[in-house]
Amino acid sequence: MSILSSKDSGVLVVTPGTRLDSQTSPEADRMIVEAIARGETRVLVDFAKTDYISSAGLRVLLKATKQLKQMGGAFGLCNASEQIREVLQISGFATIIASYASLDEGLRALRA
Amino acid sequence: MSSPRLRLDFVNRSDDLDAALDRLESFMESEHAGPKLTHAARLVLEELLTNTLKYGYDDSDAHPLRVDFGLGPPATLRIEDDGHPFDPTARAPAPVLDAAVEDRPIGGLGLHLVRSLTASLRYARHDGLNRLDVVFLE
Repeated sequence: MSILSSKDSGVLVVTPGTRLDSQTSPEADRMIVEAIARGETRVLVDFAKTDYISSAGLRVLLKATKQLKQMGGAFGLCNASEQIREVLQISGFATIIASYASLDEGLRALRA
Repeated sequence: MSSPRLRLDFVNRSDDLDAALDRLESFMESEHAGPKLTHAARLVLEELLTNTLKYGYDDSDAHPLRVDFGLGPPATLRIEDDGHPFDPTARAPAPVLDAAVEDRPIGGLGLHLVRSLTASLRYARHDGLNRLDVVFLE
């Protein structure tokens, strides 16, 4: 599957593939849940390669936001395309989840 | 001349649904539909049929799904299935979109997205089939 994760200055960066949908969301969810379980507290989802998100993907983002907020961590996303931004807007997530224009900006904001 | 149409017949398996979504997207691309409509069409079909696959059936038999998409304008989508009667136009108050993060339920957003991305939804049940007619925003 084409979801990547990497660690950059204390922030776990998760990069989904073309779509974060009902097919690919379970793996993204597992990746984030496992990362939190092993102690990650700062997670950034990079949509650089992604141009589609459905409610299955939104669920993953909301769950991660809640979990990390509860434990005093930080969650954000970056590089959202126009289509993804529209879905975040419609669903009311735009006000809940921090969104950054670029990976650099996201990393700067989430860094400890 | 009538607008380009795509008809998809498949069964209620998630692999089949994924293949159908990919075929819809290929069709949109080959017809040079804009990215906004391409995205909306795929999203609406995914949300509606994911619900049908999850909640539509008691048995594990293969059930036929039929999708008829017309490019329009306006673009239209008809979905027919023999699952439990389900009227997506009747249910579910809109989620509370400005709730604090702790209060936002996980899930329940699919139909809200569908309603937001479409101009109209019309539901009918006859001969044991759910039929949903969707008209997209222009």
